[in-house]
Amino acid sequence: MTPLQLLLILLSQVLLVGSQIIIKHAVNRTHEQPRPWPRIVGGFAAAIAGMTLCFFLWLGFLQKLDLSHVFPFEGLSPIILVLGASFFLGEKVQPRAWLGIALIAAGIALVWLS
Amino acid sequence: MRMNSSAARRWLLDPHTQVALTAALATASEMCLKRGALDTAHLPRLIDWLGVSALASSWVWLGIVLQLAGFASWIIALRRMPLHIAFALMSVLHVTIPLGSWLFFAENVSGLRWVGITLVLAGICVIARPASRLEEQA
Repeated sequence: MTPLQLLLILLSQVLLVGSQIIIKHAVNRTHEQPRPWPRIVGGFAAAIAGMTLCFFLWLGFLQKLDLSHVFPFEGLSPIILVLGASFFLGEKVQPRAWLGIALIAAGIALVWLS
Repeated sequence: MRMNSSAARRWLLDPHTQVALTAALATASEMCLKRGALDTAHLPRLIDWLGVSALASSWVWLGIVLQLAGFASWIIALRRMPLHIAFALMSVLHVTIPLGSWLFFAENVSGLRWVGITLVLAGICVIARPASRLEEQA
């Protein structure tokens, strides 16, 4: 795995988590009255674009790398969610979450070296 | 023994059945995507790191259909199961997908890689609860 591929895998996981959160916000706003259509449609469009890009990046990885080498990187998504919530929303990272982050990060490092 | 239809229906809609189905569909989907990606790896590409050319393979389209079916069963599972439980159970993919890679594509999954995968799996089970709480708030 080249450094560029590693960077792209990390970026695609960030993009995926971001798209999922955007789509959830767009769905939540459909309950508002009057419905903020431009924001709802914009949110869906951005999230679908993000997920489509992730899907093509994933196919690109599968064309060049072993599936068993790239799949463990999917474990990054809960890390991104927890650290993202801490950074953007000021949510405290629980000790239990730090343990999970350490285990996943160590596991991915070993997979990356393998 | 003959199972009556309401028992069969209850079994089918049980969240554990649906999580197992989601995991099976997701694993099958990755196998199809990998097969399609391998079949198209030699095709010329417009952007080197995007796998758009893989769409030329029917395997990839089958993989997309399976992924959508998996999404449907995931939604059914989540109606009756807390997100953090379903999330932790889905970490089984970190075993089934490398096993499938070894079985169907003869990938050489080394001992070091399995150790790493085991750590990732353990970490997901540990982080499932705090991550799911944030996901539900988001």
